[in-house]
Amino acid sequence: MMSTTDWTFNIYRFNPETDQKPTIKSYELQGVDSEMMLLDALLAIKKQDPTLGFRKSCREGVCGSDGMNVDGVNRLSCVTRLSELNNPVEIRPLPGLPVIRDLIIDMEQFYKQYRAVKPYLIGAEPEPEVERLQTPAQRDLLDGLYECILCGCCSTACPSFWWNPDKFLGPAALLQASRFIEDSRDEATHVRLDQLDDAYKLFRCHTIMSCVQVCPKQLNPTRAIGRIKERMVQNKL
Amino acid sequence: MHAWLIQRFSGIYIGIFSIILMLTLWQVAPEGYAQWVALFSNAWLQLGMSLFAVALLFHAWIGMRDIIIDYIHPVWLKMLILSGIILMLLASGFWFLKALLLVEVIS
Repeated sequence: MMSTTDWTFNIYRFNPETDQKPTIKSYELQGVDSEMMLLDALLAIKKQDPTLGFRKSCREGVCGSDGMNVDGVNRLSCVTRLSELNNPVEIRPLPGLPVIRDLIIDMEQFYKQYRAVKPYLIGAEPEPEVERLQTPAQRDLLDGLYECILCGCCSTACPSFWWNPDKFLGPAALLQASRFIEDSRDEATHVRLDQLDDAYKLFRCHTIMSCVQVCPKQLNPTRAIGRIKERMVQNKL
Repeated sequence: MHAWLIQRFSGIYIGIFSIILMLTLWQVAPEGYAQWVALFSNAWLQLGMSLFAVALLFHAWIGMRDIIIDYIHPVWLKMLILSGIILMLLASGFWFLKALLLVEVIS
């Protein structure tokens, strides 16, 4: 049954070019269907106030561009129903990275860590005549790793990433590292494991598991990080 | 990786030995200084205690180092605090060694 009600949204507003410090601005939407997605509510708010800035694209949890902190939890607004939230809703940008404007954050540090794990297959040259084949069992090892959409909800929920975003790779990049370490077609497994073996890149993870709690694709970066540690031990022995 | 592995193994040993030590104390229930000295003059217990002290020192070092690496960023301050921790742990180690030798001398 459709239930309509009035909703209040307290939204973080900040424009570094004009504002001294961030403020929280309240918006009201009247007679809203509680099964509406938060992104649709934000689009309705943007009609009231076109200056509100946030990212969005596919609006179905695939592109990962509308990550934001909703009532203290990192989520994708396009797959979050209002009925899952408290009224009033408090919306802030993903924490731990610089704010460009309102809910838009600068994800350069996040992508830098992603690039650092070389997220592509490294194979022996020259390329083989046929495709690089995998058995179904080898392919199964990639389940739970390849589905990441790089929304950044996990890394920006990770206290270790907040303290050392320039040195600790963060759960998203480490999940990708695991995805290529586990891939039977990749031939740089040992190099990848050796590169991760320092005090910061991997070992700042203290199994806090905030990443697992917030991942909108229900992935488990903590398990992937544990698997990398196991592989590292096997690699050394 | 080595620090992480040592942290795991020392943790397991500390956990197991703590249980053994508590069971021993519960069973023997030493009363007075002389009985405590007699109990700890047992070679096996001394070996176990020595390993326990080493495991505890390493475990504490890695744990404290982790906290400092996480939260303290200026290099000079990090080095200062880490040096302080090393001194404290070394002092604790020597204090344990002194207690162990004292047991040897008395018994």
